[in-house]
Amino acid sequence: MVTTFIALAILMASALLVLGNLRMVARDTCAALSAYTRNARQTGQLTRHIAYSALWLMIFIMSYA
Amino acid sequence: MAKDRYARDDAWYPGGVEELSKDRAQLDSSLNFMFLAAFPLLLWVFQASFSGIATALAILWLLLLALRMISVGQRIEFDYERAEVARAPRLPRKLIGTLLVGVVVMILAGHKFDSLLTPILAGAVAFMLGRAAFGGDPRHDKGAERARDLAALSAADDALVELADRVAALGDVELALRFEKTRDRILRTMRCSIDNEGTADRIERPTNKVIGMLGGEVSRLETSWNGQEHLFARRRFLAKIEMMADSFEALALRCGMLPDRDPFERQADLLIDRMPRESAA
Repeated sequence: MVTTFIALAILMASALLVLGNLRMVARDTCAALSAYTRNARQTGQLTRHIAYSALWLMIFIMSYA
Repeated sequence: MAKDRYARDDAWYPGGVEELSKDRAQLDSSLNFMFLAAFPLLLWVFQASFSGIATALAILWLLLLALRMISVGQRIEFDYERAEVARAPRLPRKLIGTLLVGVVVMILAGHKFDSLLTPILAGAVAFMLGRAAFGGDPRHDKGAERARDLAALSAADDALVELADRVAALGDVELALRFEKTRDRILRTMRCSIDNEGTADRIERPTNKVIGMLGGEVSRLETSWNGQEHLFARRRFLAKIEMMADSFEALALRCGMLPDRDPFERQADLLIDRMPRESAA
């Protein structure tokens, strides 16, 4: 009972924190993504990384029976 | 002397050995993370029947094998790219590993879909994605020609060192120094022609010839060294080695083996050649 309450409280608190600063979170995510894309495109690794993530997702989804 | 100059090529990594080991250690991180993708398979162990558990373990084992193959292949490719002379791997490990990943995905998809076509398609897609993500194995041997040229250069160097030793054994300092100079000129010419694209094959025969002739001259000098015409033989020897080096250089220049270099570059070459000897003295 107590554990559930603590877990739920932590969940709620973090959700509230994220929702309260939604604009900042979105801006930071956008900046990080664009920086990564620029970097990856410069080093020519973008296709590699996209293929890697697609393969990862594929294995993950397929192994959920 | 010649070996010193080329030894630098083996260690051109920007950050030295530490950088290399760091990069090599990073190779596996993406593969480790890839293994986490199969973690839902552990749920099968709790939920499924005995055959399901066996299948899950078999699939995990297969995926581990595939990732291990790819990892070893990546290491080999890493070393291949950094080596100046390297052999292509006999077993295309990355290809085999990627194929195994395709098989794993096909088996997994076979549990999800009833038709036969979809799993095969999924396996093929996974194989192509793996190819795009991990790349292919190196296919061709690399730098065999360069290695042969370097071996020829080192053989010529050895032969000339032996001759220089024989000349030095006569005990005449000026003679020894002049012969050293000739040797430097011949080696420098040879090195230039090796660095020059496409002329490396043509320099080998003239070099062997000039070394043979030098050997003949040294033998001739040795036989007449204790005789009457010792001074004449000495003069003749000096004139001949000078002429041989001159004509060797002229030949190389005529055949376009020596690039047009400005005086500064020639001077730098001279300095590089002298460096080991001067510091050793």
